[in-house]
Amino acid sequence: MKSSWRSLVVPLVLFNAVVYLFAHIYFFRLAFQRSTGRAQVDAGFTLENFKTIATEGYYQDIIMMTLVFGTIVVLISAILAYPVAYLIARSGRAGTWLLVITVMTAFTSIIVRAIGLRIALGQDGPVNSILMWTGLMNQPLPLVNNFLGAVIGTVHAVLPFMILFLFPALEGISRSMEEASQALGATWRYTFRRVIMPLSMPGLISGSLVIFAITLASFSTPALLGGARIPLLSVAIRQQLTTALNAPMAAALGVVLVVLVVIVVLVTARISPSLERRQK
Amino acid sequence: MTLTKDPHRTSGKPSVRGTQRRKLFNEPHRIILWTVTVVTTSFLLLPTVLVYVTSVGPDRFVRFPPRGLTFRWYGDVDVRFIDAAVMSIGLGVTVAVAALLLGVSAGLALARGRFRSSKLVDAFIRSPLQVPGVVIGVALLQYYGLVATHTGVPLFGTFTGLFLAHVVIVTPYVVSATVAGFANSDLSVEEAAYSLGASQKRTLFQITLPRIKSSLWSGTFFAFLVSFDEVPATLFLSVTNQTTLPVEMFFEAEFRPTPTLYAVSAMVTAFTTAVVLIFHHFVGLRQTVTSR
Repeated sequence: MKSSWRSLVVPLVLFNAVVYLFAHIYFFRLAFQRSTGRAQVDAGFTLENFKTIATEGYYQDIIMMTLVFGTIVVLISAILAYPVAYLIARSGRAGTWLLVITVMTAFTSIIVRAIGLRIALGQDGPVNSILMWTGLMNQPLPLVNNFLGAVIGTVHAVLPFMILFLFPALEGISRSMEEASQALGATWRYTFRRVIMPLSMPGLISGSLVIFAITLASFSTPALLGGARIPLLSVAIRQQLTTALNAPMAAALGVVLVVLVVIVVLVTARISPSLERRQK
Repeated sequence: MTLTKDPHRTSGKPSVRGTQRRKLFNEPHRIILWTVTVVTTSFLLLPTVLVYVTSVGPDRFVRFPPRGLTFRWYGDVDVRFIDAAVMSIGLGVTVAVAALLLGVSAGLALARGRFRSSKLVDAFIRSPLQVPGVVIGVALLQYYGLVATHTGVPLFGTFTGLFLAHVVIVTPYVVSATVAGFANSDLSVEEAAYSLGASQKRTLFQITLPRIKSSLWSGTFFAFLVSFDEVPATLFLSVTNQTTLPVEMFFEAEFRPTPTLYAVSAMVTAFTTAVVLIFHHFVGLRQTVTSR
């Protein structure tokens, strides 16, 4: 009886095979072809796209900056998310309101958030206005259409999810542990460092890895807040396709991006069991 | 400063009767935590607030702070945004239904069926989650071209083309939700039904599926949302004036943002905020997020 259920998986597998798998096989093959200009492609097999990526500084920069970008965004988000997640886990009704705000932000369209941030960070925007009004700066800081803008934007995009990843981990730490530690005379600082932090570490690490993979792949926010010339893989892929009309190069860059994401996923899969063991 | 448990209370929450109240100032670390959190929360809310504020400004070239108050942009919304909204909703609903059918079937098979390659199939089915949207978009764009050349069926720029792409992207979420729902639902009730003589079909529809109803609902809801907000892949597979709402907004934001863009943004945000608040009122967000 049980084995007859398995045929139910066939429709989805077939669908995925025809629409998704074949498309990506074709895409993969495209990376090994050469563009002959004006959106034409030469049908032979060549490694020249990958050679270009590996040797030209322009592409090396892009790959490097994409990784740096991911790291910075994850670090900042983790630091900002931690207190919020802690308070959601520990503060009852006030915490629930924090949760509502977090979820509201998570559900707000990513485009709307990027547009709003563009106003916030623009030359006439509130951030620069306050900076100049308080006399901290004489000129508006360029906070949009550059790498910094992309970082701030993507942090904003990713922060609610980091909070939502961290808060179950923090909530799982039984309150009595904190209370026991304090009953034994520890200061809060000590309790945090030796009890709360280590226990939340597995959730923090696995959440960070997931967010890192998401950040590597993110497109809309960096595109809107970083400008068209920002050195990121996802934006470069689009550029190669729509501006340079070089589909094979776009495919090659896509392959690089997928490889990076797969590496992160594999690392996560590798680390997860040992993280779970530590928590127990 | 420790909280003691009132032995007569059985709720398990530490009692504050007869102990020092946990005022904010008794615990200085809380002040720091709350200050940082307020700053972060303001950061989270700032863009939305700015969008609302800017949408009621009178200037034709968007300016902040706006120099007046007007709602005229709300009435002036370009037809293409309305078309795009309709497209997004239509797409979202059809994609959610298709994802439900394909995803629940697959989830059932993975959770209840027994076959040797189930891990591999599971990984294959979940793999679209790992592929960046840009890559899916570019891959399908080229693929649709290939299909059009060989079969004459145009998929680029069509509803069907977007539908197929979204179903690929969204179904893994439904599968995950289904499998997770089954993990929490034990077999014995279904087996009891079989032993009482119910047919497989009947058990499926009257027992198995209703028991994981909440997982199915949240999976479908999530499917709709992911489809609605999808930008990178949709960007490559559609043409302006015939695309989804977020992509239409993206194009305009990229080139020349007009005040109506902010009005549309404000309306969309008001809608999603209302949905979240209503959901929280009736179901409660804390239970939803922690029961997962």
